[in-house]
Amino acid sequence: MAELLADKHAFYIAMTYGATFLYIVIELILLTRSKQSLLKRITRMGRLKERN
Amino acid sequence: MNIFTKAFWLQLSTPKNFYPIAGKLIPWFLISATLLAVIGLYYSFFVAPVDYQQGNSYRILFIHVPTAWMSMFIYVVMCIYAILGLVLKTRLSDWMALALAPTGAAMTFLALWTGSFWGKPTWGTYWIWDARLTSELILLFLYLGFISLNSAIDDPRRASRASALLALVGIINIPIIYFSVKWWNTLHQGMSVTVDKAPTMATSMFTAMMLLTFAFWLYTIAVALMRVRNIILERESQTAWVQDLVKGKN
Amino acid sequence: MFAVIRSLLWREMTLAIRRRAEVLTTLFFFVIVVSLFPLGVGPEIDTLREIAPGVLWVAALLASMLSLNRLFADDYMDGTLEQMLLASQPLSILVLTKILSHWLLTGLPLVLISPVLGMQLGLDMESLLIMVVTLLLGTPVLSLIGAVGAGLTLGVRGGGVLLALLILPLYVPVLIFGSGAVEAARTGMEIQAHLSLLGIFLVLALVLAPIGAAKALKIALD
Repeated sequence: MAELLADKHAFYIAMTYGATFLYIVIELILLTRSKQSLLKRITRMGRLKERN
Repeated sequence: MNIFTKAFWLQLSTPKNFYPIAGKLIPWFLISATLLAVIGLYYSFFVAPVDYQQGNSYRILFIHVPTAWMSMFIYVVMCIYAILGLVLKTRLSDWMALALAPTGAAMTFLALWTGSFWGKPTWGTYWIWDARLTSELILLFLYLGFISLNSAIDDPRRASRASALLALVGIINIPIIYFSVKWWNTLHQGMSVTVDKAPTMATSMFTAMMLLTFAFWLYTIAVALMRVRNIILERESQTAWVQDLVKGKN
Repeated sequence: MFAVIRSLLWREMTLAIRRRAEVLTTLFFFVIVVSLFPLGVGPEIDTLREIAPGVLWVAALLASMLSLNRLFADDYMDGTLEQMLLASQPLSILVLTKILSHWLLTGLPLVLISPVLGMQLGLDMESLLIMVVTLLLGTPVLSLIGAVGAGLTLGVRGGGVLLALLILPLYVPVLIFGSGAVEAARTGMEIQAHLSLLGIFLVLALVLAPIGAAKALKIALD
């Protein structure tokens, strides 16, 4: 591992694996968050309908 | 229940039945993707030897090749769903195509991104207008066009049918990308993994690449299912079963 | 069937003569875009000669795209399109006629004026001839592919920009081999392969694009 970090191409490798990891994390967070906000919106709509 | 009957599949493909099944499947796909990714990463960094020509920078290919394969594979799968949606008029197929598109675009972007970080140490440049790079860039535009056309049309049925047709027109690009290294003399290296020949690389490198490819594949299924569940919730928000589902959760 | 094609073509031409400005706008756009390059790049004739094939082809591409969102828009608004859908002739034949008239009104004038512009950019006689040939083969493909995009974006908000996003990627092969042929002719290289590929594109587009555009119109009018 230390040998790899000292490699002259370490920057390029880090950019590749880093970007991929970042994309996966962001996509999962965005999907979970949009699901939660959808559920919240549908709950609110349901309540409004019941009240009327 | 007999899984070989048409009725079974039609039952399964109604949004109401599909939603909970997809929800149960997602964790399994995510877990197996993570497992394969961990083993694959171990192989790619600690088992696969240093390449005598490219040094350590070739390890970028363990991400680059799977994402490039996925970018084309997702487009083909998206087109299959688009055809199903056009022919059978099943809404779930349209939604699956729509759910796959953003991940496909991301895979295409990652393939270009990782490719340019591999190209810099290997070719000495981040970008060249080579046939394969250009056609992969066009693939990214096709994904973006699909997504924008879908969101620009208000009527959901028309939106999915129009974008399905667009996807089918664009599929002509897939063989161009795949064979570009054969048809043109380009800087991009040829295929090292083909169906009919043994791979021209060390077994440990091949193992790492395959493990990560399957990890990306399972991840894509998981994410597409998550996104299609969101689409189902959004489009079916007025129906009784979604209202019941939401009430049960709170 | 030929009577229908002839009368539809006649109608398109009459409409175009009534609205001369639209046809001329496309042509002026082409001329202006090409003339902007010497002003932007500088009047160095060697540089201009080098970029001439690309400049002329990109300008032709943009000009032919500019008029595309009008291709079906008027007929969509006044209901002519619905009548075409109900006609006993297959819609794809009628669409092909519309595309043909679009090319006659926008593509052909560009081809005819391109030698003058090529000469301004310092192209020699042989390259000019090749350029006219490639444009003759290539601009119909642009109209044909564009028709599918025009059908898909019919009546969509922000249609013009969306149309560009959808069809410009599909124009790329035509651009590469069209300007590639002129470039090859300029540097004295083999042009046969480029021209054959452009010919293949034209045949494929002639067969497939009208069907695709007709399908797109059916979706839009559904």
